[in-house]
Amino acid sequence: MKKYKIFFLVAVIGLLASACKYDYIVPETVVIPDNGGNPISFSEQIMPIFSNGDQCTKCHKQGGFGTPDFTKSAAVVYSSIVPAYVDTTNPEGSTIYINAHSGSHNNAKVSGTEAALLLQWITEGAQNN
Amino acid sequence: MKKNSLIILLFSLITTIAFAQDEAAEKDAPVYLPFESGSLIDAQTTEIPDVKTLEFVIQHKFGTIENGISDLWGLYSSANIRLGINYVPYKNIQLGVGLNKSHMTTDLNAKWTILEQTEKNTVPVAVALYGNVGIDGRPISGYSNDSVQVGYTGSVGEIKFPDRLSYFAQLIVGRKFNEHLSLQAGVSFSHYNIADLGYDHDKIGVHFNGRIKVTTQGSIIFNYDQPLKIKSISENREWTTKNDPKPNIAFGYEVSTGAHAFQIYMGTTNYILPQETMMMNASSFDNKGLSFGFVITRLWYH
Repeated sequence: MKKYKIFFLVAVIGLLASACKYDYIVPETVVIPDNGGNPISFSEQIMPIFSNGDQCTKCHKQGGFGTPDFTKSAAVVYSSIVPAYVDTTNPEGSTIYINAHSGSHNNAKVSGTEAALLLQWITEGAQNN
Repeated sequence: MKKNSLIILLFSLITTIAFAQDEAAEKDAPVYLPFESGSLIDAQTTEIPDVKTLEFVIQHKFGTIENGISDLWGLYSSANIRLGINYVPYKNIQLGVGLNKSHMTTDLNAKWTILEQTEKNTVPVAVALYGNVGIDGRPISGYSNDSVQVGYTGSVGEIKFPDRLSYFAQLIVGRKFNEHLSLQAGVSFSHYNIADLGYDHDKIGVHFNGRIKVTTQGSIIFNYDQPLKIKSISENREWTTKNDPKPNIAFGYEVSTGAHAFQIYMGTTNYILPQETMMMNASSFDNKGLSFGFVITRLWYH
């Protein structure tokens, strides 16, 4: 019994001694998309974001818990997210942008560069191209 | 000399209070069940079961109602879940461990009811201390970057074990006013060892919750957690409102029997661990951030 008490005490002291660190996660370098004057392509530049790292398609797939299904073709995915989750008048307020990058939607968080790409696509009118 | 007199005075005060309480305890008994369970929605109550009681807690929070019927108001959306076990080794001291889906966090927690409210009001309120340590279990790839910097401009290194730790400490004061009404107020301190730039490591919060018993087994329950915006402890350099955590407002209904409590509720946080709510909650009434949830507790007595 005494052994357990000592172990418990050591564990508590160990965990408390690790407190009071004030570390920051180093922010990633965001590359602002430069498409040479062309609009961002939904099928070629936006669609890959959904499946990259299985961040979105982990749930948003056929038989998955999330709707819409991001594993379908670009045309089908486009019609299911525009205009339902996209607000071209307030791109930063678009549900798809908030859910993808804020980290508040089921721990999903796309990279800063991907988020910038998504935002620019919405700002350009969320075209189906 | 002055110091010695002060020590003697303090010592005599403490012993007097201690003896006074002992005498009072003989005549006065603690009130019966100020709360039906140690958990109240996401919060803790001053209630701790008898010694050698084992408690199993299941906390489940569905997704938000924002998508309406398309995912049945969050029921088909991704959920947050906590499974916890608590044990009472000594009178009024409870130790526990829990597994959280959010950030794959394991939490170790302890609760100590320092004072129990008594029938004859010798002690008018119950006072409890609650604390936990959360250990973020995500793989390094789950973080937005695998490097950390010490302080705002310090040296850069890898994410290490202490960076995964977060803490929550809370002082709870509660009172059972009558058979129907029990209320609690609390103040808390949350700390994260790691944060994104623009977010805080420390947060002080206030809490208010309670129950209104409407039938023998049923109660209306509510919980309110408010993270405070205090400039002197904030590291949010730009001092914007963008990253401020939102308050958690929850209300529900509890049905309980001797060994069970079942609570169903709606609340404005997707998190279950208190430090996550105090530091990161982005849900609110404005963005339809309400979600359904339930808590089931089961006790096994020795």
